[in-house]
Amino acid sequence: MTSGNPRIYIPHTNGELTQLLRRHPDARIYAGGTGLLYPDGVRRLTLPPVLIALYGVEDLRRIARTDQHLDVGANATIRAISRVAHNVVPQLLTDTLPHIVPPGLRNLATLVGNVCTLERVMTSVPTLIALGAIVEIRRAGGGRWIPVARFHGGSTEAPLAPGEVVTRLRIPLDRYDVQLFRKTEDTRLTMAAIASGSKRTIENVRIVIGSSAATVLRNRELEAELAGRKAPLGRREINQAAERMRFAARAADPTFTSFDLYRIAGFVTTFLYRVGR
Amino acid sequence: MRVRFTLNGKETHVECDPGDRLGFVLREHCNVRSLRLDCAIGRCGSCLVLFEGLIVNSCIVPMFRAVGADIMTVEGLYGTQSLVDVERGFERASFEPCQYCACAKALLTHAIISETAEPRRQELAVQAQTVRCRCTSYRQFVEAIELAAEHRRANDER
Amino acid sequence: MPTARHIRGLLRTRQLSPADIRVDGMSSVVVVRSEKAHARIIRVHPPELPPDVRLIDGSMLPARATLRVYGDTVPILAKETVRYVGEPIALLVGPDREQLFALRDQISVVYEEYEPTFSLDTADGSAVVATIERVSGNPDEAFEHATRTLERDCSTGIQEHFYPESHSAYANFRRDGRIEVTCTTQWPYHVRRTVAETAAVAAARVKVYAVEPGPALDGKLWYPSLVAAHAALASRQSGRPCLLRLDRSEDLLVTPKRATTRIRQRAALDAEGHAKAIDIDIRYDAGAYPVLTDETLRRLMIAAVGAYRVAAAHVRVSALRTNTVPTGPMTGIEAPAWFAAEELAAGLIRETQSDPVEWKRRHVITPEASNHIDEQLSGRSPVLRLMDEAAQASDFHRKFSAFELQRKNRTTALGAVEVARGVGMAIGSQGMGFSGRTEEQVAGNVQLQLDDEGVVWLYTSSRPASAGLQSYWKQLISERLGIEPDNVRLASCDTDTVPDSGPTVFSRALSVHTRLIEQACNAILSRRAVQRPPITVRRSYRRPKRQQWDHETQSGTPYPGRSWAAAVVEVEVDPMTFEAIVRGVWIAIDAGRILDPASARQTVLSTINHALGWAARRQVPAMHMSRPVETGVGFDPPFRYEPPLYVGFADDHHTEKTPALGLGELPWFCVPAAYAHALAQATGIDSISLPAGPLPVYEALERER
Ligand SMILES: Cc1cc2nc3c(=O)[nH]c(=O)nc-3n(C[C@H](O)[C@H](O)[C@H](O)COP(=O)(O)OP(=O)(O)OC[C@H]3O[C@@H](n4cnc5c(N)ncnc54)[C@H](O)[C@@H]3O)c2cc1C
Ligand code: FES
Ligand code: FES
Repeated sequence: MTSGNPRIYIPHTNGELTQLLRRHPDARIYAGGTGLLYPDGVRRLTLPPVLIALYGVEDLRRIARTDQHLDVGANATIRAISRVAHNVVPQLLTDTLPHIVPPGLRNLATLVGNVCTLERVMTSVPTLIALGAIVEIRRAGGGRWIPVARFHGGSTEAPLAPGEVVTRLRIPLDRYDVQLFRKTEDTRLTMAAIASGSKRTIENVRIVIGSSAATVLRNRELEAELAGRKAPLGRREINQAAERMRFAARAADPTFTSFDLYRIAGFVTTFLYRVGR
Repeated sequence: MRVRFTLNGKETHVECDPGDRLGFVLREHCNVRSLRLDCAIGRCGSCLVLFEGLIVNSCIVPMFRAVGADIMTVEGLYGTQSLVDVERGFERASFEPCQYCACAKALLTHAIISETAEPRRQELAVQAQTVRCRCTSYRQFVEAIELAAEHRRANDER
Repeated sequence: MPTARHIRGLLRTRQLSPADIRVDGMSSVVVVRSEKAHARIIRVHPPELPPDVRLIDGSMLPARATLRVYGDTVPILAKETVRYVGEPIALLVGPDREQLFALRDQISVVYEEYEPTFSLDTADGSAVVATIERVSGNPDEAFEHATRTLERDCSTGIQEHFYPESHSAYANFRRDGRIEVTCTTQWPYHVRRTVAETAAVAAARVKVYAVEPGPALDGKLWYPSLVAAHAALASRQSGRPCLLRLDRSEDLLVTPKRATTRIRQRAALDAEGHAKAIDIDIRYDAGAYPVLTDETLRRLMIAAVGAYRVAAAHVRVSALRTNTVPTGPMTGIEAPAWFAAEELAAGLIRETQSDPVEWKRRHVITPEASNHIDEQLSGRSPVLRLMDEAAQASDFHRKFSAFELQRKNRTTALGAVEVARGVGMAIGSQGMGFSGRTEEQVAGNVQLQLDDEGVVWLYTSSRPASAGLQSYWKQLISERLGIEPDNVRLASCDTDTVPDSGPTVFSRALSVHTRLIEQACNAILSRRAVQRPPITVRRSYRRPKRQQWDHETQSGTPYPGRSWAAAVVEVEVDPMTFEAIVRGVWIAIDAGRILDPASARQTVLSTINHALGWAARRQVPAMHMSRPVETGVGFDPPFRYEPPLYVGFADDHHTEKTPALGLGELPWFCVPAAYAHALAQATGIDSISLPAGPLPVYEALERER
């Protein structure tokens, strides 16, 4: 009934954080805690046995921008990002932010925490994958960068090894001609897509579909074929592409309902229709 | 564990479990009556407090996080000009929340107008939903916040 | 309009609800509930209980103790048979609530299970517990001679009241044999009677202190009596003050909801497609224990043909008993009937290829041409004018034509790239007070006292949700008696102090109690001339002469007054997700004299939101499954962003003498149908059921493809 005697650590620097992780490789990371803790009656929240909270590390709160990318620290809340948003943050992410958590939780919940929740594809994930975002992972004595896609790419290998923590998220600031985001009202689907090109030729397309399953859906073959085509696409091309996405979705996840598949096709249709128009 | 924090400007300490919800402790140990725990899953917003100056649903904040924190509830606004601004905004918008959510809506309004002098309507439409309610119109709440902000600006200019 | 003082008061209230009560030596109560939807309880195996914890079951209840609502009964604790998941079986009482929850988890109950019924579709004839029927004209003959018939079939969904606070009650069985109860209720005297029976004491020995429920939408009508009875029983058995409080998740699972309905309609058409007769069959799911059945049946029957004239009609309304939670009532009880009547009208409009507004203008009831219950409309019907106002405010005619064109020109079904738009109009009416002659059987007492210090006290057990009405009462008394507003006071709402004003439901506070207060003022005025204070007068409800209702034939004027509304809703359907965005709601209202426009507007706006939620979104998870409530369902507002709402009051032709009528329920009776019409225009779907969310739209389009 009580949460036992949890051990809680609150480091203040990156160094302390990685040292603590070395000593307690199985500790759970607490960022905003809005996805980690679940209720134990009206009185209490259940805490994991060992917990390392990030909120003391000031450095991780930073949101920084260069010409090429936007860096978001592991402590940056959804609200903090919304406040820098307009014209700094890609439109696709701006459109996504209001859908991640109810408004009262935005001062607690972090974007990195959203990415690090692995049980299902969280709301920001299709968007971040479409934008080609990567994360910085640190452990005592080292670090590496991996794409967000690795978190929900269906690989059997866990993205984080014991003793590792995500410290930063890096979002490339490329120019896109079309960006589209949709989260369905029933929360079954989260869909994000971008396209860019030049002189009426499509150069780059990414369409990412998230569902309540733990992996995202992407049809790279289709994306590769669309690249290089003339824009705008004809109605038949669009219908064919939508049909192929629907087919890929059905093959990838048998829990998709026919309405899910219809909406996926509808999303692809609308998105491709806008390319070049 | 013993947790010390500042509640409405006063040093406070309580004996509690590190996983106890902040909202629960404020109500049961600190006798704060302006907030309620309703859904207890972070949805309804009836448990709002200002935590380090930011609006937060206190039902999903564990007590260990409150160590040393600065926490404010509507009780801390009694007698302040800010609360008068809020009340005037509600009155002028003819916005009459029920007794159950009035404090949460007032605190939210205070937080918004303290942070932004001229809040944008679109942003307010989202923020107003921090307190979930089916019995008043969100638009009317948005109007109330705007009018409260207007009062605040008029006071600041004076 | 709320005053700054009122708002200041709201922000400084210390005790909101019974759940705030803390008393030394107080015990908590936790309800042990059935895990089966339909079963016989064979044995209850409790774990070993600590000395300070008690288990109270149905055998400890006095034999006659039940909860009664005008002829319907609900058990306080199930004695043998359980009829829904969550039905109270026993109570655990002890000092530590958390401990009680843990003990509750260890209780095992052995059941013999029966086949449960969860929906109207699977319920057979034996599930019908009550029916009301009314035949006007000669429908059989009309059907015999019909060129063809139009058949329609639609349903409406369940809905959670979502009152601001979940149920709780505090009870203290005192040594002197008196019981004090505090609870949040719309009907204090019902709590008193139920508690008295449960604790086997005389009603006069029970004092109920009623906390204002806020906007409870009739969710706090009778269920508080059950919660209070549990608290009182626990207190009697344990000898301690007891607090019973349902957490929101428990409350969502086990408390009443709006009933689902299934409505089948047939219309006998002539060669031009005009309806010569209609046959309407409405069935509603009353849940495990039907409550307020008579009233619900009659209101649905009255509303079944909407605001339209028909030459002949056969209307049948039945209440069915199933194994879902008891389902009634929720404000706007007859909303499903209004919705279906408008859907039928939409069908007839399509048959005759008429302009919807023109069709409505031609068929709407007037003082000369009445509806299927031979209702006498007094004065002229405001409907035509309201339709015009709503149409004008919303630019209905232009939009309607433009959207028709858009739909006809659409080459593909939805799922194309452009948004689809639609606009719809519907009319509705709200009846004041209980229907027929029931109001005469319901307590409706109000007392006014002018004391010797010049203060006037209003005694009523009615607590309207809108503080606007309470302020109006004070203002009214102050003006009539020429007394300073500060010297008009509302007496504490406890049953030792205030008389029985009956339930605060069906706008009774406005339409019944306000009139009684006026009468009491007049009585004080005339007595003041001849008598020195204190002067006390009491007034009780009497049926107005012009309201004639024949119970035998179910015909006449069902309500002492009706308010009217016409609503227009415009929607836009997202072609990717089929999600509808409401672009605007326009409502024109005639509710007699408007006492306080700001308050009235707020009331209407909030009901519009609720009504849209019912029309568009799934409101509660499947109720019969014993699993935790899905997070979020019910907490989300009906739309991501609230649409622009326009409210117009047509009250310029009213005078000071025109009575004020209730309007809080009006949007229930027209907004959902207007929404459905708009959705139908946007998507091309012929027949719509509620909730009309994205999935049903998709399914309907698939079916029609
Ligand atoms: C009412 C409610 C509604 C919600 N709705 C949504 C929704 O619509 N969409 C959605 O996507 N989510 C939703 N969530 C879930 C959650 O709030 C979000 O995922 C949020 O972004 C998580 O961020 P956080 O900072 O609170 O993470 P935390 O709760 O602190 O952590 C989440 C998980 O990530 C791990 N983690 C966090 N940070 C790191 C790090 N730096 N390195 C390694 N691991 C880390 C934690 O150990 C934990 O497993 C909802 C939650 C609630 C309570
Ligand atoms: S109780 Fe905290 S959000 Fe509902
Ligand atoms: S919850 Fe208070 S007005 Fe809706």
